[in-house]
Amino acid sequence: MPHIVLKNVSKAYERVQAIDHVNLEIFDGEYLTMLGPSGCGKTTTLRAIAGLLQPDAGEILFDGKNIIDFPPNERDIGMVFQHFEIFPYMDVWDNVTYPARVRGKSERKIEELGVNSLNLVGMLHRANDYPEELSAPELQKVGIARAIATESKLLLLDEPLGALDLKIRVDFQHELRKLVKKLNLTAIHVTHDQIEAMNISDRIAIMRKGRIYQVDSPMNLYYAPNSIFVCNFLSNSNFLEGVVDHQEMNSSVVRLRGFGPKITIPTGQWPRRTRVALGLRRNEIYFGYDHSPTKNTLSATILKKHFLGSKTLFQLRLDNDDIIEAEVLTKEIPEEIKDSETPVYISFDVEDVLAFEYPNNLDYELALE
Amino acid sequence: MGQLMKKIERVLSTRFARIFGDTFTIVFFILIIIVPILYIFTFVGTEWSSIYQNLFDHPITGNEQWLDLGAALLRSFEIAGIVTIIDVIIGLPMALILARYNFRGKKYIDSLIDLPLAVPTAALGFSIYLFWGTQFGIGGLLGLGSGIFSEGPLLIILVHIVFTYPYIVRNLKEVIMRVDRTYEHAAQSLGAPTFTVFRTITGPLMKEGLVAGAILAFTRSLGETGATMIVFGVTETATIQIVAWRSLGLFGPAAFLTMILVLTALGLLILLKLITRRVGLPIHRVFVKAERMLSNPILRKMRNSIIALIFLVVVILPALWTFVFVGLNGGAVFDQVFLANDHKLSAFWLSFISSLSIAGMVTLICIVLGIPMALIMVRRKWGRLKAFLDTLIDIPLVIPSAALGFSVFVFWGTLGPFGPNGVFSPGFWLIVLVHVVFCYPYMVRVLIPIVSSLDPGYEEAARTLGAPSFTVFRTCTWPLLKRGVLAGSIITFTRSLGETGATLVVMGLVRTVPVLIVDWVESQSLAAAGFASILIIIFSYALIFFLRKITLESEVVK
Repeated sequence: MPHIVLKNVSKAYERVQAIDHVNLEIFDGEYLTMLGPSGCGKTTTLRAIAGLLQPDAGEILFDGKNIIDFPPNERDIGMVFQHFEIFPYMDVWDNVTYPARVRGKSERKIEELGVNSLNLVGMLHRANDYPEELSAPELQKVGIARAIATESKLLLLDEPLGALDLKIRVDFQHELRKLVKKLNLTAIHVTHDQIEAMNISDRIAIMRKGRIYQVDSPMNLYYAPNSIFVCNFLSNSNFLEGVVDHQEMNSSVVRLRGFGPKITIPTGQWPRRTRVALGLRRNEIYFGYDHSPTKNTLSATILKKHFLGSKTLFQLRLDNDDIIEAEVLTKEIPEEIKDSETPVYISFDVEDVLAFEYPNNLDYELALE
Repeated sequence: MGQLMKKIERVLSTRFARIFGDTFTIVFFILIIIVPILYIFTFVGTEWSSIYQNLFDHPITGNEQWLDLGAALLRSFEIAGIVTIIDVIIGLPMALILARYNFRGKKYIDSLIDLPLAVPTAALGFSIYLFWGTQFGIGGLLGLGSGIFSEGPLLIILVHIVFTYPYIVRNLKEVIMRVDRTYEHAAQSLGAPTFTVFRTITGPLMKEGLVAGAILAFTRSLGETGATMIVFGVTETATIQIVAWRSLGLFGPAAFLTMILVLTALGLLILLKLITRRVGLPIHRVFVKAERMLSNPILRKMRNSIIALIFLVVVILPALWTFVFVGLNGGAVFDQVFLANDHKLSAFWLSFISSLSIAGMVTLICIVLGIPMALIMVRRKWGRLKAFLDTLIDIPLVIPSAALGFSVFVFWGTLGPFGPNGVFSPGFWLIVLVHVVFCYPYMVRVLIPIVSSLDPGYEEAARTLGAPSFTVFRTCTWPLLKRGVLAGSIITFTRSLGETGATLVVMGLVRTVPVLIVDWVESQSLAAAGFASILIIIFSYALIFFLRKITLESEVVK
């Protein structure tokens, strides 16, 4: 039922434009994540949807109705907080039945909602415990049960796993998604963790500096980012500067700057002499010479080698002195690769090269803040 | 730094010096502050037969004094109770407004609220008395030949509300600002309207502060003397009774009443320390309809305007009415102060100089002995003993100053353990001693949070660089502590400057300004009393204004 539309929502704090003309549509039953570095405006957007802050401009529609002037308690939402915010002087039961009680539900309904919600998160046996007796993951389960007990179909999650240990997070992500789908909720989730966003969402909205860069499924975002920022934020990439040398059927050939090597890219959209930035994911580079027309092969020199466990990170210098990094599975490193100043060949798929128009300021596009 | 200084600092840094310093601080605290208060029990015990006779079995008055005592005590409690309830009702919304809203002029309201805190209660009481109780106030404005309230309980309550109000508002504002707002946001997102959020979330989170503020206001009202003396009429409160009996030489009954007040105060203190945490608020049930109605923004705006109006009419206008009075009656003021042949001007200057030198001396003693105490309370790891000291420090805060004054008077004077000659007779030094007793906790309480906020990292760094501990204190701790000491000094100074009850008991022939104001009001020299009030109000308020400035600046520094 909930279908949320944000139209040109803006909010400024003193000198900072927290969000700037944000437009976003969240469909019924969708699990949407707002992802971005800290300070990108994702939490501000969520709080505007919740009514915890008043935007300076714009409209927020719930099922077509503008609710911008509604206080949070009249918006019919369920919200989960990063630091849980389980009321400290109430036990688990009173916390979870709070939404039913403040809505003046009947005793029977209160009982039913409390039991059902706590059951869903497996915390019914802790109903009489006080928050100080619970661990962080248990507290967040109570937080989720409490939000569900609002009976709202819209679940807002503000960095819900941000205060939990890394190992627990992955399990929690699966449980959370399962729960949302089982109850047929619409979820809006805020996080700065790319893996979490990929793992949990139907669609992700990538934000930066108060603006939405791209909204799409995790796969599409990863394989077809629309900007250098999105590409770099979702995967560690190298960016190389070059000029389109000539076009072929469905591809073009780019010559890297400084009379560097030629690289084939999987698009013919740019005319000759266009200055481009080529994105090359670290983990899609491998060692070895490959003649196949679907591959690019370059010669390089190893500068540094960092052992990271299952993977090893190499720093390499290309013939035009550009530096790139490659992350290779440790087991697949050829015997003859030595530590440094070793000449090697590296290869990567033509399909894996992402090409962008060269920006005015590459560092600016890459910066997180 | 000279070689001698270095040597001295090295000596002061030794373990021996530290132990000596700690011992001296504790002994001073116990001997000067705690023992005189508790001595009243011994005194009542040894004098019990004469006290019994005086109170219950007097050949002429029978048990009339006992009845007087009981009535005064009961009245004091009634007044303090009513004052506290009204304070909470009108103070809580004001605290909320100041903590949560931003509006133009907030800064001014914020500093106006401190006004009654800064000004001697006698001056304040006089101003309020003029406003409500004489033809120079609201009665005159309405065309009456007299005030609209006569001296008595109602006027006492009005006066007490004014000077206890800042305690409630200040305390609650601090507490509300400390409440974690995300809990409120969570509650709102769960569907609770604003009033319900306040009652079920903010309330429980701030209840300890609410109870602490209420108890503080209660003890303030219970213990006040100066302002009450101006407006009591025939309604004698407990503190006035002590002052009266003391001046009549009825030491037995005065001691007995003092003992009861000390006991009550100790009881309240224990209540404050132990029970506040257990006070439960009914938060389980929600009255959905009524609370939704109360959450209405229009109602909220109405409430805010009413609170602002009450603040203006009940607190600020009466508190500042002296200025209007003196402005309108300049001629009378001039006559009484400068022309009359009883030399009121020189009496005023004399009392002003006494007040300043007493307050200055008291502040100096409190600084010298308060800093080591604060250091002990924060730095030493003494466990139980420290918790005990912590409670002891607050004792003088809750005991009515007239009772404190009487205890100290008995202890050091001719009735005390030092024999028929006593150590101090009423006069300058006994006043200083009494003032130190009730000012000391203020100094220590201001310093403790500042000392504990100091980063021990700097001191550790200085130690590794080779500085002995006293040098570390002088070069690293003191520069950071300076503002705190200044803030504590100003509070101590204004406390001492504004006190009446204890001073009346121990002053002998010395007069301080608040006592002078009470004297002049009693002798119906209202214009002269107005003149003295204005000068002392301006002086105290300037001090507090300066205090706010330095504390605000130190916040910026942080």
